[in-house]
Amino acid sequence: MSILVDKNTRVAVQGITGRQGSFHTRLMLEEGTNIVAGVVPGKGGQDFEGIPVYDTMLEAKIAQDIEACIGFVPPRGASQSILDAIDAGVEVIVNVADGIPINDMMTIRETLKGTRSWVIGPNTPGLITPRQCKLGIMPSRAYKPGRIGVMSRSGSLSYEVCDELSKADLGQTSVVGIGGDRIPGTTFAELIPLFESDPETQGIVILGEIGGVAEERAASVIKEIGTKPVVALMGGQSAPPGKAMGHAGAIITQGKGTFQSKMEAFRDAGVEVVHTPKDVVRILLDVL
Amino acid sequence: MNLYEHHAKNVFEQYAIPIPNGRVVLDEGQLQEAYEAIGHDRFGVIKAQVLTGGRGKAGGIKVVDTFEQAHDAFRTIMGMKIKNLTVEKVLVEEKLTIKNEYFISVTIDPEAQLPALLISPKGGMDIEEVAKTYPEALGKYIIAPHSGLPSFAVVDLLQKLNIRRGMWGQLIDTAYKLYKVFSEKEATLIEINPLVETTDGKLIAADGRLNVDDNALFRQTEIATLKSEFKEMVMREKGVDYVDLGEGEVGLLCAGAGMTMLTMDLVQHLGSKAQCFIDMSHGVNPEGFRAALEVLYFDSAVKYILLNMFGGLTRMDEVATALLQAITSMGDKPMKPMIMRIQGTNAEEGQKILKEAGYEVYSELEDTMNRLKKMLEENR
Repeated sequence: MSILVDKNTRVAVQGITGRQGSFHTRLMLEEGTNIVAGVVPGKGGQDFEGIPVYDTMLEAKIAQDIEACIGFVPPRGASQSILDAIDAGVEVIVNVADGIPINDMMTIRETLKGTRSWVIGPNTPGLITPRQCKLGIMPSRAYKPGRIGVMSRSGSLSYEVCDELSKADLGQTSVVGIGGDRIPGTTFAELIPLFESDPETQGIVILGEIGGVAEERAASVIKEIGTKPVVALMGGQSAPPGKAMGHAGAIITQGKGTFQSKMEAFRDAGVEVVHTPKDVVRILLDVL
Repeated sequence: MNLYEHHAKNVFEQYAIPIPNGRVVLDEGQLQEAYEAIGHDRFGVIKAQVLTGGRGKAGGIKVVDTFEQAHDAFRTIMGMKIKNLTVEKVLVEEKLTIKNEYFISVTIDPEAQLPALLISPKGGMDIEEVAKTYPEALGKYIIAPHSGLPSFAVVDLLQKLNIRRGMWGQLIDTAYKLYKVFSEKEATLIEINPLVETTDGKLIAADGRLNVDDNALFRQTEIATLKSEFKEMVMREKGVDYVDLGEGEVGLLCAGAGMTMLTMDLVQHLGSKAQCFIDMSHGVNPEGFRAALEVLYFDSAVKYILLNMFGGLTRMDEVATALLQAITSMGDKPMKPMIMRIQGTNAEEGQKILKEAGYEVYSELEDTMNRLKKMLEENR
């Protein structure tokens, strides 16, 4: 089992013929992803290595019953590709673009209300259910099918932690990068119920960082419905306030988003807060 | 991109938000010109232009009466360091006769993830302090997307804050203009603190902050012309995310924001501090490494360089080669002690390349931090 996507999920790639799009489409296919369509405005009717290409997501959806998509579109056009997919009724929409304006993300969050779609990202390596479905740009070798659900605001940290989980034979059910921007399409709090109800997920890892209130919200959901062990690792304990630490979202504003506040919220919810990737594995091996 | 006070005030002026009569001054000749232009009777306030709070406490703002005093203040402030930032320009302004000080701001609310208008009659104080000590004196209104800022919402805030009715008109007007700047310039923060009510009943923006969404700069072309004034923005053009932390001794050279933050925290756990944060994610090539090394070599506070990278799609043998190229283009060996840890895709090959060139390379994070710990202890 897994969350959001598995080996049967019917996937479309936005920008499949581009340099990034074609490169990663091949890697995603190698992981087992069921890619059934490409979407590139102006290239409808062509194909990419046997995969049919459509002009719009709606056409792809009608012809191929698309359930999930991933966009390889430069940041300036990325919000349009997300809106196209929401409009077509695609359920899982991943976008890896780094640099979507905040204004565009506010519009997207607003558009999402009342729909059944999930937007994963932007500024994320994406979403992976190892050896079944990869919607992203993460290095496949760090992942292995297993029993831990992982959510992360950081790509680099999730590679390192997943690599450790794989080496320890814990592996992952699904790994979701929610991304490093101030306004992500999906938050930790929204994903926890999915991991909670996935029977194969035995433990959950949250890789957070300073800024915003995503960790605090996650903690309150865990407090309410959590039954599985959760371990959190967070970056930015030593960051000064008011400065964005590499990620636009990793910033302490108006006294909100401090490490202290997140750690207290997690501890109050019974979440173990650790300081190194190796400690994540140690704790999970202990409790499982 | 966080703009200087004088930049923010230029934008305020375009939107008819009243600002004090003032000029940017870089040398003594310009100080003399500012003295004449502002008028001897209203002269003056000398303000360091640095992007940090607490300028006043640090001695970066001085009120003067005569040109001689202004001259002394200018010489003291220019070149002074405020939280490791060197003052390279000052803003010279007329003195205001202050009756009241307000706080007004539009920013992205971290909880609602929407714009919020904040108003307080307790201006001139650190607003986080106000929020803590006098929470009833800070009014907030979350602005619904695409519906703009309705005047009734501002009236409601002013009423609750017990602000004198005589000031409502001007405050509503300022709030409206502030939100207009916020949305048109795609800001993440716009703030006036203090917004001064003068003895003759006029509102003037005595200070100003304007932070613009970096991701929107491609369409904010006017603001984008200021990029070259900010080292962090110039570095970003080279694919290197750089943050000056300002009070440490270890220079971080990492890939990925999360990884860099984690490394920064681990340095602090050793009882030390990072001086700067460099995330190379988009710049792992000889040019990117060179730009990063220039910063690390020439920032005299950096005593040690700590490289920590986990290669995902980036091949670590290519990283090692690019790093060596950058190092040797600037000298035989690094100008400062350097500890390296590389892991991930092709890590073994990368480690081999660096070891053969005579460098200390680690594969485990724990060993790397222990090595740094030892190095720090040896030099204490």
